[in-house]
Amino acid sequence: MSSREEILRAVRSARPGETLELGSPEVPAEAAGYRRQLQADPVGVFVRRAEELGVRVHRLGDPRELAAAVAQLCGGRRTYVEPALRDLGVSLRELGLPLVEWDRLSEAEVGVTGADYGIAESATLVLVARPDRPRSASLLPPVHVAVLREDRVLADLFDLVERLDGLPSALVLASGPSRSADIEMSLAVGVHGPGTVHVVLLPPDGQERRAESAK
Amino acid sequence: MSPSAVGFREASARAVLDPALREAIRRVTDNLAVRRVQVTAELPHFDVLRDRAKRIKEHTLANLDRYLEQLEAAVRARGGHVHWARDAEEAAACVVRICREAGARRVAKSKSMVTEEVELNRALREAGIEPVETDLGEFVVQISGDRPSHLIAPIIHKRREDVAELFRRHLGTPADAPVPVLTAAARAHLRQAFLQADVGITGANFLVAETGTVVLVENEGNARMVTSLPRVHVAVAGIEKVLPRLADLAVFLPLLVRSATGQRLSAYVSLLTGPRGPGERDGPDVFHLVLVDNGRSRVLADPELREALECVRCSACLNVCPVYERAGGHAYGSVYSGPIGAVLTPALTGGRGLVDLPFASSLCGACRDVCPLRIDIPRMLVALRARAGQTAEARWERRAARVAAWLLCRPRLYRWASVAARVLEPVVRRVPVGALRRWARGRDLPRLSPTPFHRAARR
Repeated sequence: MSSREEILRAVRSARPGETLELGSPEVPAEAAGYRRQLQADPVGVFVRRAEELGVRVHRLGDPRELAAAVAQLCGGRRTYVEPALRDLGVSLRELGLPLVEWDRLSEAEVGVTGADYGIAESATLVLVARPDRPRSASLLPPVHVAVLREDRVLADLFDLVERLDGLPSALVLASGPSRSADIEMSLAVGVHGPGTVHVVLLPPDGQERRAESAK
Repeated sequence: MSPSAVGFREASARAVLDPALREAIRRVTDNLAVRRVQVTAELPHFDVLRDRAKRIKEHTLANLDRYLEQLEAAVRARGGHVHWARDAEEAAACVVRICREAGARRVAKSKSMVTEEVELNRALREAGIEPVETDLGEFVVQISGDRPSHLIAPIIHKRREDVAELFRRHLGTPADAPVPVLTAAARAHLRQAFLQADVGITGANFLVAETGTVVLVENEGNARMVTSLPRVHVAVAGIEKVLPRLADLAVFLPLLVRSATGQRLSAYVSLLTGPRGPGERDGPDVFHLVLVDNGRSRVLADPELREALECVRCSACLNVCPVYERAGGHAYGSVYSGPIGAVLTPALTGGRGLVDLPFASSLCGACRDVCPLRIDIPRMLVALRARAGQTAEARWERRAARVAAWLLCRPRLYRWASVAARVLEPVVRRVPVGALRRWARGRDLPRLSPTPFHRAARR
């Protein structure tokens, strides 16, 4: 008998007789008041809690300021811009920023990516892997600049799992810089992932207006 | 699980005499325990989440075969491979085979308790494959030939000076390097390991049956590296890690992270489903999931200990345990230390550590109070104590008690015996018998008064 069969048989004969119902995955009613506070001003909560984690948040009033704002954050350093933000990459090159290609990613000092969602409760960036959003762009460079639209900021994880329709090969929830407290509980940032994280918040519907301005 | 050279009694007796160790442990455990209280108090529905998590775990364990089959089908549907390992040797051999087939010379590992449990690194080295631990704490453990002493803070027992000296020898940093310098040196060194590794090996905090997803919770980013850069990703997980639905993560992630480190969410949570998708530029080409039993199905069959399988390894019970705080993690002689380790080690191994681990507790119940799954650890320790009562030492204790009872029922004989006892006392105190001396350690034999009580009372 194979290991698979043997383990499954052992589990089948071992499991307790009574079968408890799994229960509904709905949000607990007791959480309503707490969640209302998050839902009342998700962007405000996101910004406050991100800053608590050491993330620098830049709230833009006009999406046309995006390229200038990102260029300033990059400060002339070698920068990789993910393919999903191609228009931004073009503008940054015009502004004279040294961009690196994918095959030189490990030399980049800054990685610029979009974020698919934000989560207010934990100041989290939701990064969904896909052909134009590679995993390493937000991971290898010591500085990560994430571009997020304010209307994509959700209240909490319950909101996120409700919104997900199937899963990509990798979905990463990133909250603040890479950190470790392994040595005597003293906090060190930038252990393996980026030690500096910037979030550039675009006003709602930013994408369309940015596309126009890029033309 | 690597066998311990000495039992809990000897090891803990040594540890309590080390004030620096106690200070180091207390600093970490107090810090984590305080943060846990603050961040769990913030959620008015935290206890509701605990109840819900308990119910989900009970349901899942009661239907574990079904969920494992569902998980397997979901992983396969996304192009992943699933392997089953009955015990530690099979699990290690399976990972070694995968590495060999991938032609791997170097593998990068992120922190995983189950790979410690099955002693994967030893098996890899014996096969000529070099495993590199990439979690900062585990890296320190690896280069110092040490063992982790805490579930989530593996080098809780080491001072900064110890790490600085180690890095001076291995990485060439200055002897007085502060923590940021040490961290930067480890970053630079391990970055090469990520880029050169052929295979990345991780554990799993959760497995989602409906989607075939491996969930990894971490703060450093090394698990992201290990699952993004090498060609092959191997996830090794105990069969009890499965959760039915994606939505269950909205319950379990806050419970785990808030109980473990007192964060609202860890710096990184990765939800990994199969190998990289078409057109993606990074991520593994091949994904393997190794499901490990290694005693878990036996624990599932044990109504008294089954609840231990609900553990999510948050370590909250370690951080409030008065015994852990004084004895340290190494005294438990197992990769699983603290209150839950005192249950898991004998449970998973079918009895190792049974003679002393169940007694490594004051039964104060703090562990049960803080456990996000409300696992009744004291109840299980008591059950294990009853089983330890079947050991040789306990049988001799019972025989001795029967002799004493027989003597106490015979007043004349007892009086003679009390005279004899006073004559023999100096000899008895110097009995050299090893087993008896071990038993007597931690027990007190008060000096007999010159006058027996029954005579003094008569006067």
